[in-house]
Amino acid sequence: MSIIIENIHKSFGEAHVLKGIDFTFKHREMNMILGGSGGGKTVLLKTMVGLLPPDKGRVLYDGQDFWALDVRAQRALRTQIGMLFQGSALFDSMTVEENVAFPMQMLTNAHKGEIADRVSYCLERVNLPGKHKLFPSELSGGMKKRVGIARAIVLQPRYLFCDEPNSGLDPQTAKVIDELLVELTYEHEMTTIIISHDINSVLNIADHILFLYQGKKEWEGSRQQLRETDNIPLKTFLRTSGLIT
Amino acid sequence: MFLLLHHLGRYFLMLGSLFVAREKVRVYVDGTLRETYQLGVGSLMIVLITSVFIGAVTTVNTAYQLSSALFPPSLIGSIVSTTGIMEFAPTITSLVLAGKVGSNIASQLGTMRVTEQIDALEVMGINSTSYLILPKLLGALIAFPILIIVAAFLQHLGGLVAGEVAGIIPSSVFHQGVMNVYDPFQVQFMLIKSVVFGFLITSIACFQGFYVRGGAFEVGDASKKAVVRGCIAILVSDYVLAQTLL
Repeated sequence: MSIIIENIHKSFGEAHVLKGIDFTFKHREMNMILGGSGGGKTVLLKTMVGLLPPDKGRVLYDGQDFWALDVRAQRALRTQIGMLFQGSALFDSMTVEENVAFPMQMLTNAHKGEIADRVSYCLERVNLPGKHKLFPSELSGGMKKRVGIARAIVLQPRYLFCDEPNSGLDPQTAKVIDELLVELTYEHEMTTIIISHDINSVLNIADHILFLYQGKKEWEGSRQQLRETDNIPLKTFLRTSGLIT
Repeated sequence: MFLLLHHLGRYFLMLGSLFVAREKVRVYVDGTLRETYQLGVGSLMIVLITSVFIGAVTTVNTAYQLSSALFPPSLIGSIVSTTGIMEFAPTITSLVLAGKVGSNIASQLGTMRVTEQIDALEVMGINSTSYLILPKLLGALIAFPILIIVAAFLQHLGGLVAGEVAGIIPSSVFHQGVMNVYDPFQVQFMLIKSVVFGFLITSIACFQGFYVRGGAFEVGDASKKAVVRGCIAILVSDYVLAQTLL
């Protein structure tokens, strides 16, 4: 259940954003993609979840190349992918309950009772019981993220992608979200990939780190190795983040 | 020229993508009913106001231009009826709806795009064009002819009432004039126009909103383009239909 990316290239006009990235995202681990703004993190994530086709290279889910699959097979694979977006991307016109139920209603033949049970379970799991009937506009930033997580896990995905899960949150709420993601990763045995430039989050929860710099894989390793690195761009990034002096 | 072809190509690709990898039929039935209701009921008041006044103004203007003993008074009713059914009801109503419905659809889809809601649908494996756009198009194809029939009726009513109240033409003479020129083909022509205009307004607005890139400014810009391009498409197709079918 690992994800392997091989020689991923992506350009937008003259801008060569991803320049041949290889990496293995390990199963049942918190894989984090670290890097400065404009380093290609989000573009890499989008090529992995099927939103942007790479110009070159392969994205292998359990050996299956996502971009070589036909539409039907891609669609089947997508049901195993959950994603938490930076701004949560909840559907404004739907209540919390409808947002979480949406993937089940659209992609499964589950009956109403089954969907309601699963929605209640997911909302309780993200500590949002009793919020079923609220609309996204009535939720705080942290609550929106938690609804986004509930929606992402409702189909019991094997792969969970999170784009800046802590952005815009206070440190306490960010910690709650981090802990929730760790718990869910181990509980559901998922391969979790998180984009972040929150260094506290990286140090608290990352098992396996990919550092992108100028569109290339600059460094990879564990969080222990991160502190002892002598990689200059990474050290500069960490120094700017205040982790080392 | 290249840019125009590029946009036309994307527009037709969007239309083509509505029919591949569709979702469950129930999703479209529910969506179409919802869109038909929102478009139809939501637009009824503006259609009512514009139609009644257009009918009234047409009567007054026609009476002013035909103020001669050479023309029978019933001709006013005939002219109001013919222009109402063939031109004002479908075209003016559609121009008004291009503003109301076009900007609404473009801003709705544009906001969904910039807040990553469309990306969320795509990551789930849902055909976002088909799920979001097809019900709007089907809803428009149902609601537009109904709205335009209502508009034509109200224009007649507005003309008749204005004629009577202002003492220009008695309602019985107005009615006589309407019946003198009634031709079922005119109604067919009006319905053909309503379907074409409904399709153009909705599909252009969907295209503008769906492919927005950027933020709030770009959503506003897409909304404006949806209205302007929708109006131009109505006027051009109005001429083409008149030239072809009359």
